[in-house]
Amino acid sequence: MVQEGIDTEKLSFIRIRPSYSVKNFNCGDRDLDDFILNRASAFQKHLLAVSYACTDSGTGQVLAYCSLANDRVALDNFKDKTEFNRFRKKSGFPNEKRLKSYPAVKLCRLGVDVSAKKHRIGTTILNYIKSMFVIDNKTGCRFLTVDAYLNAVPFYEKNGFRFMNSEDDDPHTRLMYFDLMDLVA
Amino acid sequence: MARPIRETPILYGEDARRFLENMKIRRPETPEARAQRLRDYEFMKKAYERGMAEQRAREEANGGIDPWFKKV
Repeated sequence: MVQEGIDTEKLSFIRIRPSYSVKNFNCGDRDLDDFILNRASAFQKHLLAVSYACTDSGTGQVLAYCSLANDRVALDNFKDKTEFNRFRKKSGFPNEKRLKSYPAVKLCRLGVDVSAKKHRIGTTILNYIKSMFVIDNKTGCRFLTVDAYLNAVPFYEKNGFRFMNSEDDDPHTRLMYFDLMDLVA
Repeated sequence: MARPIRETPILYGEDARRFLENMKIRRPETPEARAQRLRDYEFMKKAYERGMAEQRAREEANGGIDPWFKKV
């Protein structure tokens, strides 16, 4: 439990306003730190994502950060994108409805400060997000999606995420998803 | 410069078929995992209510600005 090792009375979870950005944060990944410290607020201002911070109520230190955006999972009957594009060109109407789409929420970024690792904060945040979309959901949402950094893939697998596609050979990340129906038994 | 987040792709062919098959397979939580998830949810809900209330108080005390964050 996240409560072990961290004073529960001293933990806060805050929705970060678009006019704010995080002052200090070090999750050990420079790329992710750069986004959280310098670029996250722009995504908020343009309504592309909402950021949250898990903080120590005593010091204000940001212990974890995450951001969420709406997403969708779309499936098509064509065997690949080339065949789909060939059909679109030939048929002359680009928006024929032949996709099956499912609503989803994208976990854009999730990082835990090095000072707070090994306290289950990441899993606790994931459990909160999962529950939010099956208990307090205001709209329908079937999947959580994430573009996971390679070193975070075991964390997401441990938390029930599966791989989105079989031929994902990106050198930095893997696309993964969690089916929220697994929580509705 | 932070790496852009990849968009969730449209799934075609075998990936789409496999995805649909997986959608039919339930992987229910164990009772212990479910209890833990719900405990985490309640814990974070309280942390959120507390966090937002404390932030409002800090802003009121500091001319509308929360000193924990950088104003941009």
